[in-house]
Amino acid sequence: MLLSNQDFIPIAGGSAIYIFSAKGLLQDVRGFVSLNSIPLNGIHGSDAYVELGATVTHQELLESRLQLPGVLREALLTIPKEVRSVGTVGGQLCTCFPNFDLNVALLALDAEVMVTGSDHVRSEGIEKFFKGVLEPDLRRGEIVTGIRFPKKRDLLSGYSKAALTAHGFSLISVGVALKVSGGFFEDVRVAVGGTLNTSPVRLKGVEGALRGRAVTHQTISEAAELALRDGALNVSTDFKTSSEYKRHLASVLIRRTILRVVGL
Amino acid sequence: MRISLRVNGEETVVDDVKARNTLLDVLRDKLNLKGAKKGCEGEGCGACTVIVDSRPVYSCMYPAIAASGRDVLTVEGLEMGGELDRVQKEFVNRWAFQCGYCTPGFIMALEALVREADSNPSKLREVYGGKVRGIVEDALIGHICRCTGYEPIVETALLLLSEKGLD
Repeated sequence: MLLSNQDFIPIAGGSAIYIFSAKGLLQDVRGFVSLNSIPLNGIHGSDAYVELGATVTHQELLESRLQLPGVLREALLTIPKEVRSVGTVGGQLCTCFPNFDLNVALLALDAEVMVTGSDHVRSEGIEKFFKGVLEPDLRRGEIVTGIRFPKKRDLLSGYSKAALTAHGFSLISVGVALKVSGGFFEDVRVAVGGTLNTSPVRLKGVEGALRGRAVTHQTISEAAELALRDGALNVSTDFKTSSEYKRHLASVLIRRTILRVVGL
Repeated sequence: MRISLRVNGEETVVDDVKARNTLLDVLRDKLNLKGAKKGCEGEGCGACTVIVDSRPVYSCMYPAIAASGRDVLTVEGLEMGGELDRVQKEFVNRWAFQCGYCTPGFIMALEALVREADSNPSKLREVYGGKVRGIVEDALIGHICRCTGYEPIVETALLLLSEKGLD
């Protein structure tokens, strides 16, 4: 059905769909195909990877026996329980929404998206998967079956979010995942989400300004300032916040989150 | 489309459900259960919260069709023989509401929490590292009340959890 008809879209929990529907964005959609009867709700951890089925709910992930990386756990806890009970890992991923907290956390964790079509299976890095807001890199008839991210020893990671209410859609959120070796930064990933014009993005300028440098207040502050530069983030002024304020928030949250995870 | 589900313990059949209908539409417009409120439609105000298969959900973004075959509990289903239940009574005792618009949502969130504390207290402790206030804040984070200042609601929740041995 999904292959032959573009007017049908696949859904899992369905929460996001109903937000779009309430806002009148689904006028040309004729029907939904529920993926909940397909067994895609496994949670597996090996030494090398953590693998999550596409229809695992946020709450199932939070309650799983896995030792979740800080960035993932903290991101989950910023989402209302009412959404966690229903919303799925794969569903929120396919929206490519920058405000969806798990997208930012999974980007920081270097996740890989597993995709199945009618006659093929493929996997793709999450950065490439996020082509744009509501624009996952999926071809007709393809569905996301799961996501996996590498399990890294000694990974330091964390998530911070600024929103107008305790749990609201983020104005800006930041997920960082990094390693420290002998007092120097290694393997740094800084992901930013929130009310952006794009899907969540990695700030490679900030990452580059940290990688290989000593873990000091000064290094961290200088790197975080790079988020203020034009072009680092594609943000606009909207009814909640100005673009300048969002850039400022990004810079402050990056600095604070890194300081927190490295214990400074 | 016709769906059948259990609402407040009763087998219920609802006709003419459209794909675009939410569980909240069905409860309010088809079953005349007006306890769950329409507030924000998707930003997360919590006023529409009901319990589906023992989990709290926002009924305004829950596809009605997905509720097919499930067990739905709304604020109307709490009263037993004309008496308010434990959570409701404590809301009254502590004056944990003012205008009341958000109250059914808060009550259902706490109902879900109390049930979780009954069925799986060790999981609650494990997920929140034993911090009871953290458990309460996480249960209520998705709800907005513009009157009470939240403290009476949080105190009610802490009391209910302490009765379940979580304190």
